Amino acid sequence: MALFEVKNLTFGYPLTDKIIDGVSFSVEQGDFIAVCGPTGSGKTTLLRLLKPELAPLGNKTGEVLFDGKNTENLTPEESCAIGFVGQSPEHQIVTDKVWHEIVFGMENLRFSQNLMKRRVAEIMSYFGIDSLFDKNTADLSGGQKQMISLSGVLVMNPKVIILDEPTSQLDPVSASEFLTTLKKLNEELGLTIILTEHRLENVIPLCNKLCVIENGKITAFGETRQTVKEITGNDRIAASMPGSVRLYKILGAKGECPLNITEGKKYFRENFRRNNKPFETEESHTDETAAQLRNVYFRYDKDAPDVLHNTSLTVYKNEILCVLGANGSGKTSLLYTLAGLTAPYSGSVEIFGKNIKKYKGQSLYNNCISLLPQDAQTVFLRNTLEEEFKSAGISFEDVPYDLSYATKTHPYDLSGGEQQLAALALVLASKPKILLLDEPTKGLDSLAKQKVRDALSKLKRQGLTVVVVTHDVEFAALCADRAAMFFRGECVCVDTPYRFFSENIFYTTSTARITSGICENLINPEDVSRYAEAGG
Amino acid sequence: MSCFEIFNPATVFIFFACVIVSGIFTMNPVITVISLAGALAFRFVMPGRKNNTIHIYTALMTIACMVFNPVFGHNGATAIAVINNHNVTVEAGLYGIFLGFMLSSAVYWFASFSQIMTSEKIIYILGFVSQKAALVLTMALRFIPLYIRKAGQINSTQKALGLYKDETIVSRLKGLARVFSILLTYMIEKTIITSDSMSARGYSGRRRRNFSLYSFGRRDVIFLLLSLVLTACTVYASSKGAFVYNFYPYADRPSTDPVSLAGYIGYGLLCISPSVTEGGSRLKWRYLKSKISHSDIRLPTR
Repeated sequence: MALFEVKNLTFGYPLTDKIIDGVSFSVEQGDFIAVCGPTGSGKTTLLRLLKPELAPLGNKTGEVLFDGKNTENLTPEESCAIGFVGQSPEHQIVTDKVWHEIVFGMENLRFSQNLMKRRVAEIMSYFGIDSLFDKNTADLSGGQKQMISLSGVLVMNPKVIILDEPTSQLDPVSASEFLTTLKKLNEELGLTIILTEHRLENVIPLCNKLCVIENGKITAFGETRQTVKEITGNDRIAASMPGSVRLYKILGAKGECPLNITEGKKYFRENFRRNNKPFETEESHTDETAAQLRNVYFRYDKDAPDVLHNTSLTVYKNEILCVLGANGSGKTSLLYTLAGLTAPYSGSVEIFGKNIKKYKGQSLYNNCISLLPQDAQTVFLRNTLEEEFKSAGISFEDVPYDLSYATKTHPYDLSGGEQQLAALALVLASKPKILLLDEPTKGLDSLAKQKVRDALSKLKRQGLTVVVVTHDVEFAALCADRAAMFFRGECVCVDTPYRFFSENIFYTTSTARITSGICENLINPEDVSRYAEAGG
Repeated sequence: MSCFEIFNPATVFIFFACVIVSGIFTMNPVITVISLAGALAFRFVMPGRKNNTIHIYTALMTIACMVFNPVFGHNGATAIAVINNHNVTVEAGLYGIFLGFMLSSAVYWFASFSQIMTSEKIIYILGFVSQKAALVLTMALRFIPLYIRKAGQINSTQKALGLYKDETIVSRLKGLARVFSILLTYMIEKTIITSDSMSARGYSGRRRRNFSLYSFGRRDVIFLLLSLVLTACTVYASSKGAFVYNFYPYADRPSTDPVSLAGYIGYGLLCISPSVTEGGSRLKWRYLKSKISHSDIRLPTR
């Protein structure tokens, strides 16, 4: 018997059209299902309809059976066999101590003291996170927070775990670690897993089934390799597929579809023939300096270690500079230093040839520098986007992209990508010459990323200098004029993206990983299609 | 690590409640001095980093009481000066000193208390009274620092957006109001995620069973019984009027009848018991350690 049986499910909020439209599918015991689809396609709503406590209120027809029983009639104990983990590591954690967070669910279900003790010991030993037991949840990294949330669900012994974009707020290293953990649970415990994800790069090689959902309808559902092949014709979905799948599509989509790097490499070697166009890998920035850091040292506290350590970096006028690096490597501190929000204790920062300390009062922020922080929501103040724009003194026509369809929307109700673009528009209101962006693509789907990319290249054409701090190597490979790598508070290399990503072995794009050793200088799928011989 | 770390928090809580309450409600010089001595002794034997500026505060407080009590209170028979037609008396000064001692002893006891009772222990104790309050406290401990940090982030964002148009106070206040307003929206939005996360894990406002990290062992029983018996002793003496003491018009000589003596001894033992327990356990450790070093077993050095 199937674990979940969804029969002809239709759902709509009271004032909207159908979000979910006649969906039927079944989930078998031990499945690892990835649900993918563009933003707003109803992924999250569908997942929430599977978990009775979180099911949204609205007009629902059809039914969801869990273990043969309608989910609406499950007792709280039975319902805990359906675990749910959301996307925000910060806000789904309820208590201040790690141990308390893990036992929280068991306390609600009134487990006995001994059972609680035993389960906590089990789960923390299984994941090897026992050293976190006494820690404050606030001191954990994003990845650790998600592991604690997962542990807090697992201790209730669920049969299935539903995860709504669990890694969208994590850096790539923690994200892949988290997904590997899910695979381990799936393989070692036979746990059924259903998750939605934008970044399919790491998920496709792990899941055994893929569910594609568009406009509230399931357009493809089945065994991963087969389903991936079926949807190569669908441009919108294919753009979010892993590098190997996109190369497969570019090179003619013949034969079996490669799902991981190893398979991708094999496929690439067999099918790629280079044409004779020369590579364009020269640096193309101007010689004028927009901002310059000389031997900058910064730390948050006298007794803390340096966050920026002997950092020197030149930002040229009218370029897009992407700064990459691991968590805690000083990327964000670099932005805050450039924005004059933190003062280095040694070294100098010059903006347009003038020391940053000489910008008195607010002159640095008027027609000079603007910073868009990681959490775009910290920018919004009004109830609608229209009011927001009005108070910033800009009109929808000024913005280099279209947002006019959302004038009456509350900024918080926009999708992640739209929020990012709206916040960017507000940041641009002060007519900056240098724009600083902190992780602009965090949690965005491929379409939204492309919009951000287009916006940035448009701004560059208007003469702006852009510094982007990001974890997203694929994004950097596509939009940067130069890429810099930070490590331990120091800028260890700056190069054109072609040299940067094709010389990097570990920290690089999936296309570069697939093509390295076979053909150099190919770092995005677009390069492959440009330099491949017609007909593959 | 203090040996009180392994006591059940309830034991620790009851002990401190007994000591502090009986110390505060008895304005008797002997009791006050005993309490202060006990508190200082315990602070001395307690391991861990201690903040010594506390002594400056208590000394200042005692001096302030000694100076201000005679200035504002004019009871007492032995005048040493006259200010504005009011007597400044020795008795009022004496009263001030002991008032300062009493407050200082409470400060020291509370300092030790807060060193032992971490937030999770307080939450454990609160769980006996009200489960909901305990949950709210642990959530507050999580979210208050989070929102303070968020407010800082919003502030720098708004600053870099050119929010503070000029350096005037009005502009700054407007800025603060904006930060607060954004924070409020943000909080409301995020609370929804938190409540989802709670109900997804079976929270429904029904009665819960609090997970306890603590056991109630033999040492708890012994220490608790001892504390209660000694407190009963003190309270009995007090109810017989053994601790009645007058500072005015002339300062009494503390009474030395058998009931008073029993009361002093009872309270004295109560106050010294944590130091003895702590000191005893330290000696035991030394003894155990010496055994280890004489045998062939070597502990790995950290």
